[in-house]
Amino acid sequence: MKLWTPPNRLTALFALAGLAALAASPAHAHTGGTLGGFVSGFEHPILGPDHLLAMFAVGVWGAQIGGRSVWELPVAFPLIMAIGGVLGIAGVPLPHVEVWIGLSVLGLGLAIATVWRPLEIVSIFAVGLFAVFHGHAHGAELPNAADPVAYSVGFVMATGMIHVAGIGFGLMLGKGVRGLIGRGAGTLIALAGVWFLAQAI
Amino acid sequence: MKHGLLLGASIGVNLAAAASPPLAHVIAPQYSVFDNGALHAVGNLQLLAPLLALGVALGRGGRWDAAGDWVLWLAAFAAGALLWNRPGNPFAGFGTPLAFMAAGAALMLTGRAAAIVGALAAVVVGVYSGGIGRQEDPATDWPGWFTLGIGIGAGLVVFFAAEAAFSYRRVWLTIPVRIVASWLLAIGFMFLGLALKPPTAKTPAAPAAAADAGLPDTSPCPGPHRHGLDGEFICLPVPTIDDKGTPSSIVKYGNAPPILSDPMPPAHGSGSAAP
Repeated sequence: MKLWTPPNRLTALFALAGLAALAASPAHAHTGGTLGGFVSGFEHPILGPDHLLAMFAVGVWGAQIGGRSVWELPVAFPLIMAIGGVLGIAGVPLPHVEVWIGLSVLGLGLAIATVWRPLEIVSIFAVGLFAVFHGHAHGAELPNAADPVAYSVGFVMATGMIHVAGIGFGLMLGKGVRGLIGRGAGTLIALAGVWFLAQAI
Repeated sequence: MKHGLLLGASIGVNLAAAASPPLAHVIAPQYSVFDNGALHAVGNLQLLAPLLALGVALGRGGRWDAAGDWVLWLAAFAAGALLWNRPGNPFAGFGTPLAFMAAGAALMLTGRAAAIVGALAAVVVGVYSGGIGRQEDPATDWPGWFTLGIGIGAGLVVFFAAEAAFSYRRVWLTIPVRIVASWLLAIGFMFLGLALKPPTAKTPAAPAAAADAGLPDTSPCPGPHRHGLDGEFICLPVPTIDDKGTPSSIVKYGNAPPILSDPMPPAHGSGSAAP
């Protein structure tokens, strides 16, 4: 059995995009204490480890499930996240947002660690449920941004790029060493989720 | 080979269009206003993103469909420039979300639905681009040049994005294109939420601002005024209008443009120093 297969063009593209997203250095000089424009929005999901891990996990899980889920989950997440964002903008309260964000990291990590392959609709529902709370956290901060339009463009793009990084990881490394790398990553993400959950509670 | 040449030509013309104009050598000032408009189309993220998305969406269909939709975009641009900013337009605050959502939907779909939504997106993004062009047209002596610049710049962006997408149609590109489309839809949805959010009540300006500066806060002057070194009010002459409609502080020499006879210091408060 082959333990390693060389990546094809698609996986190489995802990996490059993911590496570029992770290597991006935020312009700290322009962010300061107040929410700013594009850069501030872009760095928000990247510098928040709970958001970062959840979105990365969505990409890894989609790649692990395979088939249409490779793109369905990363497409569903920002779309449903926008619904949560609008709720946040409108000031509609959601219960225990931080707890749900911690749960999302834990749940997605467990799904990857156990190589859970549910029906498409179930995986989209799970990702969508978590996305609402992540979007609400972003959206609640949006009206305070100096440039809400650029801020939202930045954070949606960053979110997407983290997904792409997750897909790249899942496609290239996730199945390495009989899937142990992917499952190990899922376990670490789940442990981080436990930590976030403990912090939120 | 043919596609490679087309792409090379597209990139070359795009680079030429995006190059910073040598403003020092501009012959006529209206050309710099035009250049400013053309560069606005490639430098403004709110405009550039839906334009690129629309171009790629059109390019993924057939070439003749794309050409037809491009002409549709052009007509919608003209309509938007003329009509969008008229008072009473109920959609005036929703241009950005509608453009992002329409372009994202066109990019997301494939097949016959994509052709229909692509045409619709061409209209929406065209009207939006025209509206932005007219809205941001600076008040210069050359009205319309900025809008024309945006029209040409935006038209080139859509055209070359469509050409590049047509030349490089690959099945595997569907996934990244759909992911980007979902970003545009999400951004559009967020913008819609922002546009629908009722404006928050503004905090009234602090009335003590003038007092803090050591200045009295009510003006005794009937017209414009300025402050002296100690903060006292110095009333400025109130211009009177003669029977020809010329203010008293302005001297006209024959048919020459009016010249201010007595340039006044910067004034604030009620009225204005210069008519």
